[in-house]
Amino acid sequence: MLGIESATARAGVAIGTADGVVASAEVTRGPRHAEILVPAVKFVCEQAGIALDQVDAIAVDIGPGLFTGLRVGIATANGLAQALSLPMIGVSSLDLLAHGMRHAGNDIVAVIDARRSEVYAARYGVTDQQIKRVMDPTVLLPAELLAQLDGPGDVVIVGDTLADHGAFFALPSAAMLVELAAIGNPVDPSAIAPLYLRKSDAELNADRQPGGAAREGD
Amino acid sequence: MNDLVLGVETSCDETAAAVVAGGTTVLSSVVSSQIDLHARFGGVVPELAGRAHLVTLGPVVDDALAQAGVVGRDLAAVSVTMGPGLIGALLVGLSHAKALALAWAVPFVGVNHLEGHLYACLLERPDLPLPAIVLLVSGGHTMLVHVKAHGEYAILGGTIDDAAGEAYDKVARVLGLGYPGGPVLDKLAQTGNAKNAPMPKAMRDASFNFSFSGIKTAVARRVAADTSNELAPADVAAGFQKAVVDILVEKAKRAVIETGANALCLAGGVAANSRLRASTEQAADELGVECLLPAFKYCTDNAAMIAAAGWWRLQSDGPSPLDIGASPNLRLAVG
Ligand SMILES: [Zn+2]
Repeated sequence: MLGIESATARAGVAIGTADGVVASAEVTRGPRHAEILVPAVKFVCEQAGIALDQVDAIAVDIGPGLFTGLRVGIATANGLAQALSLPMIGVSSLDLLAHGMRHAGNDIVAVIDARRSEVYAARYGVTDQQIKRVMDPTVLLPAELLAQLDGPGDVVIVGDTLADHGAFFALPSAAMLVELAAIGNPVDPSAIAPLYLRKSDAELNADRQPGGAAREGD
Repeated sequence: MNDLVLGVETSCDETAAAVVAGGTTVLSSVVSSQIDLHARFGGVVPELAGRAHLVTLGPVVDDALAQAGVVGRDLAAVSVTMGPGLIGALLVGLSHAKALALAWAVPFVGVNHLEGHLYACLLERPDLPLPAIVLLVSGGHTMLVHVKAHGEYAILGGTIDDAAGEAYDKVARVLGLGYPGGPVLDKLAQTGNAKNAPMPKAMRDASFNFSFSGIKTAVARRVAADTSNELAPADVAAGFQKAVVDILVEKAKRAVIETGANALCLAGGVAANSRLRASTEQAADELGVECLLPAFKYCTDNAAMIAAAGWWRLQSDGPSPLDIGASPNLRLAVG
């Protein structure tokens, strides 16, 4: 399993099996994702002593996260899967964060900064050390999310935002992606799509102006 | 020798892939246009373009390979547009193409989109006598390029404001012709009389630069002032088209004379314009130089031109490193 991660400021590649990661490379706030990912694929394969044509499936983080980052990661994964005729496994960035906290003994809320004062979030329960979504990924204001958490029962919050509200800082990682994807079901690459959770600005503006589409480029 | 190159192009609103042999023989050229997607916004929306490229590129590459009857590992290289263009759109093609090249273990070549347009001319006429003057006109670019030899260019001049194609789209909007308006405006202009709506010719100076925002404003003002609807839209379209084409060809002609070029060529999406094609041919005739008007399918953005440019870049510079990034403002390297 080869994993491609680029949903946040961190870009990473890892290679491994259900037994664990053999090699990984990660860069945070370094060169742009599109510059680092393919060289990193080459690097981890060399370090692991695994040729690309020995890989059985390509795993990729489908978000939510940075729109451009996600597309760079998925395009890279698509290219590898197409060239090697491999199936793909898409995993949500929020699942990756929650998976990392599965031993915390509470429900988990995973969050990623959605910019514009909003957050991407999903809520998970844990049974037998396996995370299970109880609220699907969504985009909302931090206040809306925190209001939902006001009820009974403790939760741990994990992610790259809401540190003021006690969130454990974490970014999705390629190593976690390979671990989680190893227990998933590979699908045809055409079934892999990013979880944008938000329309483009132009569509949002057009929706806001009844009767007229937004004009760009004037 | 293996000379098959896969070209990938995603710099704006066309998702394209092509296989070209030896930089000249097109085995396949697949273009998936996003025009319908952007039409309701009156222009290309970068975020939507990026989203659409991601969905479409894999199938388009599959098509191009299948039509050419080629498998990836048999390629001499994978070449891709690295700029100029919309950053989010460029990154999809760049990332996908790099991954293909790595997985097939074939060389990877990053190509300048503008150089691609120049190579669209050589695609059809590999024996084109150089040096040549290429008038590159599209929705994003307007420039006069002196192609001295393969990979050796001098930019003589360019637009100081709008690209010619941009002016076409804006005037088409003023006339209520929809988006993209260029081809519709061209057709309408053919039925009109430019003499009934003469427009000022901009920048008739000694430079090789262009300015189209003045003509565009003049059209908008005349249409707005015409409260009694006396102006026929066809005449306005004809007047605008004449003003734009005349200045383009006038300067291109002078460029041929001053550089002593052997050929005059058109490139870019606006090269599909009927009046521009006719005037350019006539100018080349008068000058006694070769004229090359690329087929419509190679005027607009396509990947065959990227594969052709990639082949020549591979010959002259070798492969590109896999860690190159996209360059939204990449300029034509001048040799
Ligand atoms: Zn172009």
